[in-house]
Amino acid sequence: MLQRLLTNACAFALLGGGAITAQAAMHATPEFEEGATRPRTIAFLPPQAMLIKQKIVQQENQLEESGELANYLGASVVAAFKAQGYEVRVLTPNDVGADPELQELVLDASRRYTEILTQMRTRLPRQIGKRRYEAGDEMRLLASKLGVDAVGFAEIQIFAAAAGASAVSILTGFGSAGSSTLISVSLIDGATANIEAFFVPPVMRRGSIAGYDAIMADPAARIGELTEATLRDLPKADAAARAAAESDEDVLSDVEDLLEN
Amino acid sequence: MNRTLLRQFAAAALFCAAAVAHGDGVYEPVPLKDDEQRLIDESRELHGYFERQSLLYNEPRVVELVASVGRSLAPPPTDGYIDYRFFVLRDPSPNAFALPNGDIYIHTGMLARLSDTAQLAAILAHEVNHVAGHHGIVQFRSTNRKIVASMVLTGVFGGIGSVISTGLAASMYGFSRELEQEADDQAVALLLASPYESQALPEIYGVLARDYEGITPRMATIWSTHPQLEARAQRTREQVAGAPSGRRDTAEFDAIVFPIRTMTIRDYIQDDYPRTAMALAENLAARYPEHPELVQLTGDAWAAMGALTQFDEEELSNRERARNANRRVMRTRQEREAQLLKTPEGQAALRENLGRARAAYERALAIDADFAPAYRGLGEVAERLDEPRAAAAAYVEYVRKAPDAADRAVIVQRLRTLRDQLRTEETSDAATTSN
Repeated sequence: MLQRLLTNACAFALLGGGAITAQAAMHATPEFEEGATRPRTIAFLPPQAMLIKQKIVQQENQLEESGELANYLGASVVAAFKAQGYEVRVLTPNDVGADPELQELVLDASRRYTEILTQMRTRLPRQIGKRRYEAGDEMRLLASKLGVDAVGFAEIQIFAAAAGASAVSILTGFGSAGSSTLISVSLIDGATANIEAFFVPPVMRRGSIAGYDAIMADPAARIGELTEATLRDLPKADAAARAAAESDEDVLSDVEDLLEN
Repeated sequence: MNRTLLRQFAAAALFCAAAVAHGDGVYEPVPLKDDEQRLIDESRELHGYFERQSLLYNEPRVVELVASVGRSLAPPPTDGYIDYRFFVLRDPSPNAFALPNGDIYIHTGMLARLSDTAQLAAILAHEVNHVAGHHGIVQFRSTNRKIVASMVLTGVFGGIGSVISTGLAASMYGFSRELEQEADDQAVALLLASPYESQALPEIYGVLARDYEGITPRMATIWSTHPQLEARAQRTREQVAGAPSGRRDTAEFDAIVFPIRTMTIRDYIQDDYPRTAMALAENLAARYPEHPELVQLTGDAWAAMGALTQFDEEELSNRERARNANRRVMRTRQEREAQLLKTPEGQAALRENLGRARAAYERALAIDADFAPAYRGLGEVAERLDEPRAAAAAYVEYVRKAPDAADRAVIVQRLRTLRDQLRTEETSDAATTSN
């Protein structure tokens, strides 16, 4: 389990690194950019936050503080998507825990997302447009259960190096010499199960990204600003572009007729 | 270049020497130093995290079984910060771990692989001793010294890389070789004093040693963190030789753990570990041959095999295992399948595996003609074999027999695609007839 967490952290860190060469904050499929797979309704799974404090001889994962930061991230993601006209909601851990069936689906989908996130780190961002990352029926089932067009994932990683750790890393050349924060947001379509859009701020915009102390001085405001920067390229919702789904019964009747012929 | 290599080698050797030169577990009170309270706090926070992430498996009968066996083995706590508590984590990997505050977790994937209560007791006895011997704290103190030493070495030699640690990493991933061996030895003593069958301890190493997917390189160097599982099995086998027989409670264990076994098989299929899923499913289906769900799960596992071939675990080299593991990270499932299908062996394997899957689904329907999931399986097999008419017929049957199925929307989506294919076929047939 923690292994998976750490894998996530590594993937996340590498994703950040991989994005250094990227110029855009949004990496999306052509269909998303044109509107055909742009969702009208989105449900975000409980946002994930990872706050790692690097001391001289220990690295501590601050799980309780991370939980609070995740709440701020969820609120800011909702605000950013609503501002662009999407119907969006964020599931809380309580929402998930209260429904055993939903809990199963969320766990399955999260494991699948972790798998493709790990793979995505090697070829981001160009492979998203080629639909390389497919999250399978787990994501389709979850979107169906939630009654939404797309499932969203939002993560924030804050790496805080203590002064001593920074000094040691400068001397030895290893580790991080400062604090950094990175947010990423993914949208996975409930029909294609592909990552249709992935948002991570490009290096040119990292200058505005705050360290741990600045974030903690006013976490709601700072995380709001960072989310806004991350989602700056999010296009407006386009309900007309997405084809309306026909009823299940119509499909079944059509197929039965075809089978009788 | 050579000089740099020599420096790095020297640093590595010194680091490794430091890594094994630490004390044994302490089975009496251990007052915490200032920074060690953080370990206890982190343990508590970790439990909160598991709760928030819905990772705790809460089925009462399973939880009570694990807790009652664990409590029967745990010694009285030596310190105020230790309180033995036992939990089941929803994770298909076969693992268990103990935190310094006495919280002990066993994965659903581990429970699914055990045969009886004695094997559960063997796992918990091992983990209880990590807590009783304060192994988390001992390792933390030792690790801090090692990290300081390695930082000095890397600073001087500029060489072997930084060492990353969290206080609980050892608790989660395994302690030093000496502490693991000590936990084994103490577990033998606990089991011999308990009503449970002590032979269960060497048995579980056999369970853990299986590498169905061929992705775990076997590290056989003297510096590997743990004694090899085979060696641990051999050592504990000698320790329990001649001990009187104890309880196993196989039937009771099986009844309680059954839902976890089927859930774990599904998890392995979903997570793309089809050989592991198949091994567990076939074992279970052999024991319950008239259970349609188990027969269908066997079919799902065969279908998940896709273009994979079977192999002999013993014949795989470490290099092949490492390559297999690397492929899983570098290539998506679809890419790996496409790569295999470029070869005649892969194409033959796909046909054979799907044929076996189809046979399993048909067997499930022979047991229970209304067992809807078998129709879904038949639909998937037909779809992959490019038989749209058969696929559509099976999917329609599934949706009609299970109108409230959780995956209805997914199947209807597939039917939309198949409908387009059937219409195209119909148009093409009509054009051929008129010509």
